[in-house]
Amino acid sequence: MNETAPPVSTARKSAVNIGTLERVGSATLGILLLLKGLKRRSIVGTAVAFAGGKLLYRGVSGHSRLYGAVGASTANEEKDDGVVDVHPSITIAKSPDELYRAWKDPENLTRIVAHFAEVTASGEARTHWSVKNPFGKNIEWEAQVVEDRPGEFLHWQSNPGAPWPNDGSVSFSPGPAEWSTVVTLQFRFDPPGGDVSGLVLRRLRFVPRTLATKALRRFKSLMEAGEIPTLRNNSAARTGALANAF
Amino acid sequence: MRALCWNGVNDLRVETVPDPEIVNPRDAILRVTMSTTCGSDLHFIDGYIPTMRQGDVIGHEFMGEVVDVGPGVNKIKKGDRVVTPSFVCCGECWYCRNDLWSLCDNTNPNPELQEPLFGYPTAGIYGYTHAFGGYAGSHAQYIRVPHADVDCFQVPEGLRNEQVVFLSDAVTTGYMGADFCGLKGGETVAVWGCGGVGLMAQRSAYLLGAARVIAIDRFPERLRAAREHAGAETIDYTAVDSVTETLKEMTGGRGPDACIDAVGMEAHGTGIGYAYDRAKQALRLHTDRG
Repeated sequence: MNETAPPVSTARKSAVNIGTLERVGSATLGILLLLKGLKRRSIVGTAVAFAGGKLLYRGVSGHSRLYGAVGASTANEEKDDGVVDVHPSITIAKSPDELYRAWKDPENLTRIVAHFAEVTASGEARTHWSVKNPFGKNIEWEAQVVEDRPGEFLHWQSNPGAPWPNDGSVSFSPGPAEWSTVVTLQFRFDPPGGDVSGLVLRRLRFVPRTLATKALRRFKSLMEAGEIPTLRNNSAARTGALANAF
Repeated sequence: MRALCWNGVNDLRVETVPDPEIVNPRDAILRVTMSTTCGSDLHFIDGYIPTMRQGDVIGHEFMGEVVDVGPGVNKIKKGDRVVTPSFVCCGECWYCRNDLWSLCDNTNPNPELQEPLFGYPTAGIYGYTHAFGGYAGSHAQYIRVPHADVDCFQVPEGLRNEQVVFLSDAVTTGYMGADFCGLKGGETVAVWGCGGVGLMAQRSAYLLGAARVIAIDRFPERLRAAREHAGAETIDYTAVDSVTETLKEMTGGRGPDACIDAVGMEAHGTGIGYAYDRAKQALRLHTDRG
């Protein structure tokens, strides 16, 4: 009896071989061409839309058949695929104790992450999170504090069964000179394979990192200046919900 | 209220916009009594600096009368006549505490717009693109000023508005240029540009100890202003073969001890250097790297 050889792995064929920045550019250009092409109902329009679609696919999937065929890759394999694991840090002119207590206050946390999430206290050391995914749908989960070292460290995890399992921690350690604290946020999430929106975020890793960095900046502003800089009610000759977003 | 708004490249319109309101406890609302233009406004009006949005209120050099204060404002009161700098500053971060106010960490609501380019955001500025914060500007009847106790300077009795309004931008910018020269006394300082900032830089150079200030421009009225108001010697760069050679002749071959560029992004010149600059300007390729 002959043993059949195991099937050739298809992993390499669909591997990410385009760098992140190139993918963002490809996807952006792709969307633009797609929209332009669809507006122009003609043979040329169809061709443009088709090209746009190809570019968009290339950007989102991260895989180029052309690159694959010639063995090229602009991707940094370690960085461009896999779980999202970001760990920005910031230095704030307050003591570790003060910052630890402020971070634990759900009212502060709500304000700090308001740029991408709605957070409410839902129990002892528990918070309820609601985030809009890239396609506008609400993703919700509960986060439970699993480790708490006053003045130093907080670690939380999403509840079992959360759609985007995630894990985060914040540490407070003395910074340069006596007046400051280094606050380091570590955030990890690993959406399951079938989740398209999670996949998008996983592959555009700079988005979670930017959101986390901005949360730290908002915390810094809240603690040092007493307020988070805002364009709420900013006067402008514009109306609508996005009048003061950028 | 009525306000001057950016509507597109080289498209400014007076529109009706909502009045500003107290949003945070440390805010104040000013009734704008004077608001002036700045050469740097041209950069976003002309489309050189991105992130303007249709409908943005412009203007960043101004003074006014306080008409409302938030509950966290203690020093400034309703009725005060105040001048406010163009930059929004918190007064508490490391940069503010070290007199690097334009780098304030806590007044830019959109840090992610500058981080990819500069690594860090600058402070917010009134009326100067969303990369620089997106705050509504001062070419309007009213304006919201955050951190009013830190950012509003009460004007003493006896000084006219015209004497103090330029402290908001032109004086301080020109002064900083002269400050950068590290003058010890007796130096010759050359200043390119006799616009508002250039004239302030020339005057500031004298105040900080320069013995001679040589001002460079091409417009007769600006050169006259430099001579009459700043007390500078002048060079019309369109009337000499080479500014460099002229400066050397005026300084015994040594050249000026310090130079201030008060011209900036949309410079005009002569010869091949200018042709190169024009090409870059047309393609919007003018960068800090030259």
